[in-house]
This record gives sequence, C-alpha cells and structure tokens, in this order.
Amino acid sequence: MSWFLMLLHGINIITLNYFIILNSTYLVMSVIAFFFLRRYTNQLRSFDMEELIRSAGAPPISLLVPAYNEETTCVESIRSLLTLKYSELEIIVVNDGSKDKTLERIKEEFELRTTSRAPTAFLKTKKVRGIYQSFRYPNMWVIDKENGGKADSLNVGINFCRTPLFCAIDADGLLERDALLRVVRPFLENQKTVAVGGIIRIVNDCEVKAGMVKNIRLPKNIWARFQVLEYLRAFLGGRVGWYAIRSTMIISGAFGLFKRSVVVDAGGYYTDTVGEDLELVVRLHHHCRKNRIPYDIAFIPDPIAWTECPETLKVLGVQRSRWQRGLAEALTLHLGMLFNPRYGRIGFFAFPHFFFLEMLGPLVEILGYMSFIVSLIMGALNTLFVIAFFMVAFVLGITLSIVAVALEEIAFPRYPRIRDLLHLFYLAVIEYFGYRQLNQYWRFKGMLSKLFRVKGWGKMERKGFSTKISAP
Amino acid sequence: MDRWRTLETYINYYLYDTTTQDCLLFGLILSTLFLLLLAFLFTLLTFATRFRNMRNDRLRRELVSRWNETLLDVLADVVPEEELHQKVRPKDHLYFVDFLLRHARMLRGEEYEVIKKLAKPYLPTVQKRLKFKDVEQRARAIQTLCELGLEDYEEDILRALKDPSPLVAMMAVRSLAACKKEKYARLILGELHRFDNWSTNYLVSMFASVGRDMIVSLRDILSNVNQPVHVRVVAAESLRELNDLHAGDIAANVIPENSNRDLQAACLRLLAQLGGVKHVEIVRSLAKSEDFVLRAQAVKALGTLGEKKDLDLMEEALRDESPWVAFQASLGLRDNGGIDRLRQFALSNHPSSVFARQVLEEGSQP
Repeated sequence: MSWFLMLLHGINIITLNYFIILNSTYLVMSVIAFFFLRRYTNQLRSFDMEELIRSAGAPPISLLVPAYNEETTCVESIRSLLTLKYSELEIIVVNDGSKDKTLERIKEEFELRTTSRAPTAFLKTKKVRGIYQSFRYPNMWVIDKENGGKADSLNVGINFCRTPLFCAIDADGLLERDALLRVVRPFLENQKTVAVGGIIRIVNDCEVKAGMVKNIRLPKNIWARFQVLEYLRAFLGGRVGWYAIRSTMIISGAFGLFKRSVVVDAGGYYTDTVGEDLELVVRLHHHCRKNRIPYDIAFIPDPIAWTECPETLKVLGVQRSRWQRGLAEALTLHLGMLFNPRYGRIGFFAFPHFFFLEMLGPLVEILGYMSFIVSLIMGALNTLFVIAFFMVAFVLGITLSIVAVALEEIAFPRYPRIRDLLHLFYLAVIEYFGYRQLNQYWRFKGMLSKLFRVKGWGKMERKGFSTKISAP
Repeated sequence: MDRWRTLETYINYYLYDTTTQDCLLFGLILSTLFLLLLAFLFTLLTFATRFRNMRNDRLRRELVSRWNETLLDVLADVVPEEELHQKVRPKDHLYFVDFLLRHARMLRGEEYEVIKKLAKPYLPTVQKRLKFKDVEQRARAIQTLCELGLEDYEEDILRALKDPSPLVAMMAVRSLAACKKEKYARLILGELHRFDNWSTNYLVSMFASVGRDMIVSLRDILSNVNQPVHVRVVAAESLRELNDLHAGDIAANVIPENSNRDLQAACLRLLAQLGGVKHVEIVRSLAKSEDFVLRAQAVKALGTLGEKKDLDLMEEALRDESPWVAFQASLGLRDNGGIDRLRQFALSNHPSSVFARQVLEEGSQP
C-alpha cells in the first residue's frame, strides 16, 4: 500500500472515530438533558417558585451591560432592563468608547448627569472617561470608558459593582421579566454557587413590546432559522446535559450571573481573547479547585435572555469564526487542566470534550471531507460503506435536532404555532445539506485565525427589534 | 519501518478484512435504524406533548371559568358550598385544590376560611401524596396542606420536618414559618442545621418573617457554643432583622469567644445596628483586624456607635487598602460628625478620596 493511500485511510479512520465519539457524546448529553429537564420542570411545576424566591432575601444584583456601537438597540434594551422584576437591582451600562451615538442616545433618553462612584475592585482596565447616573432612574449608571473590548468593559463594570452578585449581559439582548428571579435561585439553594448561566433565545422577527418579547415566532430569514435550531441544541441538549453531570464549561456572555468576590479574586475577565465568557468559567474552575474553594457552576434552562442573531452569511461566518477562535484561545490558556486529576470530571470529561471534539473538530472534519472525496475518486473506499456511513451521519444529525425540539416542547415551549414546530423539524432535515458544512468551514477559519493570531471581533450588523410601543 | 507495517496491518484489518467490513456495515445499518426509531419516537413525543398541553389548557380554562363564577357566589354567600362541590368531578380533585390554593393566597379573614372549608373534603387526596417517592410531589403536598389544612394535618407537616429530602423539610419549615405561630418557632429552628447549603439571606428572611416569637430561641442559638457556626450566623442575622436590643450583649460576648470570620462579621453587623456604647470597645478591637471583611464591618459599626475619639480611627481607615473599609469609613465620618475631615480628605489626591467624594455627593442628593 502506498504511503499516500495509507495517509488517506488513516485520516478516514480518525474522522470515523471522531464522528462516532462526538455524536455519541451529543446523543448521551441529550438523553441526560431529557431526564434532567423532566425532573426540573416537575420541580418548577410542583411549587410556586416565584413566591419562594420573592419572599426570600434575594441578594442585590448589578446588571453589567457593555455597549459598543449599539445606538439602534441600546435604549430599548435598557428600558426593558428597567422593567425587570427584582427588588434590589443596579444597572451599570459601560460604554466601550462607542464611535456612534450610543452614549448620546442614552444620555438623552435617561437624563444622565455626571457623578462620582468609587470602585470596589481594581482590575486593570482602560481609562474611565466619565461616570453618569440617571436622574429619572437612580439605580441606573453609565460608565464611559476608552475602547478596550467587551471583557475590558465588563471588568470596568466589576470594578464599580457594589453588590455581591453581578449579571453580565449583552447590550443588544432582552431579559425576560422574571429572568433574574429565576437565575438567582441556585444562589439561594446552594451557598457554594459561584456562577449561573441562563438560556439564550433568538428574537429576530418576534414582536417586542415595551421591552418584552411578545408574539414569539420563527424568524423569516433562513439563516436565522437555522440558528434557532442550533441554539436549542446547544442550550437544551448540550449545556443542560453538561450541567446535569456538574461539568458546566460555558456560560454565555449574553446572560450569566456571577459571585463578584470570586470573579475578582480570580482576576476578572481575560481581555486578550474573544472567548472571554468561556475563559472566565474555565478560570473559575481552575481558581476554585486550586484554592480548594467549594463551588458550583450551574446552568438552568428557565431564565431567558433574547438576542438578535446574524441574518447574512457574511456576518454569521465572522461570528462563528470568532466563537471558534475564542474557544481555542480559552482552552489553550488552560491546557494544564487537560486530563489533570486535580480538576476531577472537568479535567477528565468536559475539558477533553471541548478540546478534542469542539476545538479540533473542524480541522478533523474538513480534513475528513477532503480525504473522503479523494478516497472515493481513487476508488479506495467501499461505496456501500460510504453510503451507510453518511446515512448514519445524516440520521444522527436529524435525531439530535429532533431531540432538541422535543426537549423544548417538553420543558419550555415557546413557539405557539404548530407551523413553527413543523418548520423546526423541516430545518432539522435540510440543515445537513450545506449549512453544517458551511459552519465547519467557518469554524475551520476560526482555528486558522487562532493559529495566525488574528485579533478583533469583526463587525456585527443589527437591525433592532421589531418594536411596537416602547414606553415602559 | 515496523511501525508502518503495524499501521498497514491495522488499516487492512479495518478496511479490507471482509468479516470486519461486514460487521462495520451491519453496525452502521443497525445504528441508522436505531436512530431513525429514536427520531420517530421523539417526533411523536413532541407532537403528543403539544396536543396534550393544548387539550389540558383548554380543559383547565373551561374548568376554571366554571368554578370561578360559583366560587365568587359561594364567597358572597349567595349559593351554598355544595353547588361548587357538585361541579368538581373526581378526576379533577387535585386541580380543584390547586385552584383553591391560588385563591387562598389572595384572600384573608372569613373568605380565606371559606376557601379552607371548601378544600377540606379533597385534602385526603393530597395527604396520600406525602407517601410518594417523588420529592417534588411530597414538597408540593406539604405546601398545600400547610396553607389549606394546617389544623387537620399538623402531625403530617411536623413529620415532614424530618423528611430525608432537604427540599421537603425546607418546604415544611417555610410553610410553618409562614404561619407565624410561636409553637412552631423552636421546632423550625431545631432543623436549621440541615440547611447549611441554603443561602444565609434566604434563611434569615424566612425566620425574620415569623416575627418576635423567634427571638428567645434565636438568642439561645447565638450564645450556644455547641451550635454549628452557620446556624449561629443565621441566628445573629435574624436577631438583627428582628431588631432585638438584647442581642447586642450576646453578640459582644460571641466575638471574643469564636474567631470564625462569618460569625464575627455577623455579630459586628448586629452591633452596628443594635449595639450601644458598652460595646464600642469590642468593636474597636476589630477595627484593625488583618481581615478586611472584619475591618469593614467594625468601621461600619464604629460609624454608628463610635465616640468623638473614634474619628481619628475612621480617618485612618479612609486610607485603608480595602475599598470596602475606606467606603465604610467615609460613611462613618459623614454620619458621626466628621464631615469636615471627610471634605478635607475629598480634596486630597489620595486614591481613596473618590469614596469621600461619592459619599458627600450621595449625602447631598435629595
């Protein structure tokens, strides 16, 4: 056998094994998530959770809202934050040196006045240019700073945070009214909790009324629709599953609640990565395990943050490349955790999964596609075997998506129209023809940009929410 | 060379060995069929769930609208209770109890008693759920029985305090605490040690809600060296919430006796709110603690209890490396007659002068 043929077969075998392990993990996680969600929803139905939380001494929370060039959505987002159901809440908007009229719009809308506010921590950040407090809403503050990126803005927010918990969200996101009441629950039930993540859902083409998402429906744009399915898979299948085995590695930057003191002790957000949300969670594991701090990092599926997703392939591609680069940057920073017994199940299961399957996955998959094609052309593969293999791949992909839709329906159904439900099933089938390959290509590009040390976030275009009446 | 040969053997085995290939092919076909079945089952489950939920919602809406009208008439004493009972089919008993529970939470006095009376015939069905394996069902049953039938099911509820599940026990504690009755106070506090995972704030808020009937038991717990620290912290914070003036002396005794940071900080918070001049000395002793949490709490306490001579100590604390201590010192100076010193410090270039400026600014706001 020639060395080239051997190489091709080698790659094919690696791809096959990669595929089996990756998808088996997804399937196992989805099944675990299924049982977890059934129990969780029973628990929620069994007693009045809101009454339980509202009557308790819920700890004060600061909402940290980093804003960079968010003039189209910032006012609506802040308005919706002001209507959140939570007794002790401070909103700290950090304007990250926006080049558009973000600050002006907020100033005008919320009657800001210059004031002093002392920092409570001293994480290294870019220079703060001004601190403002709203005249109309005394619990709303705006910190204007030099541009330094999202992580830097969050660190500024943490420096000025005076409450025991802070919630990091995106300026273009919308939190459901009871999202904070729900997301704080693990902190009440378990003193060891240091961070909790909530679910992110896609708001494109839903009707937003007075800062609240009403009339929920699937986006009209096909790329946004695919993302709805992806988010369901990632959050209800993946993250719930990982949390069920107490191995949460990601809390989305769009919605996460953290214990301030632990984050400050761990050094705040790392500013030299685009995956600062993942990096922080990995570092919290690292910090707590290293210092023998008893801790729990939770993910719960009922608090919801809505976000606008990209609708063009160009922007979507940039976003996915950036996510992949962020993942690679965060994981390579903590490579010492890989198979390290000190980190328990994180070191042995979660970290290796993200490192080998999620981070290196696109490289393997793209190489595998190429190798398969070449092998087929050279007649080096059994055609029947190839067909059978792709059938499994295809059906498994569909199954994973269908399980995710089922999880949504069982646990927290949000799409009231049967038409939307049917459409999600349809998307689960057609996603495999092109979209998945595109995604792998973008992620592959992301890996390359990590290798070639590309920096920056890329541009995200926003069209704003489809708003009806905006007064709170 | 040997390595290459091994690899080649492996590849040949994997791809060209007929038996292996057949096995692989068979495995792949079997996997496809299994996955297809799984996909089909989950599709079925999705639609079954959707249609079941739609049907249940519709049925429940109908039931509620049917019951609501009659319930209002019963509450207004226009129709007898039997009329409502006649509208409850055996299979809807539990849902009817839920319906009454929702109303019970909004009503007081006579109307609440009517609701309880209406629920009475259905509560044995709820009681049966206390024997369920499912923790959530038991917790829910306890909550319902406590709100609608505490008198009749007191024994069951008290037994639930010892339930192996902390969730059920917590539900019993919460429900009994909500009754605000003296006789339950000591029983509830006796179970406090089981909830060391729950947030202190949560427990404090619950115990404080019971009211002053808890005070004697809480004092005993705080002064008892044999109680776990977590339990004593909750007791100290609850006494502070309840504004128990006698708790200051106990807290002052606890501080030198136990070096645990959380307990000392809780006692300092209590002293800051309820302490007197006789406690100043013990507070001063912690104002120079190595632990910034204790320093901050001590300076805060001095801000309310301190004398003129403490102004120097607070001014010194303005320069503390911990922002929390500096902030408390600024507040203390402002509230304790040291505003001139604070103003002077605010004009300085010291990094902590920003705290002084903030406190002065906040103080000048309407």
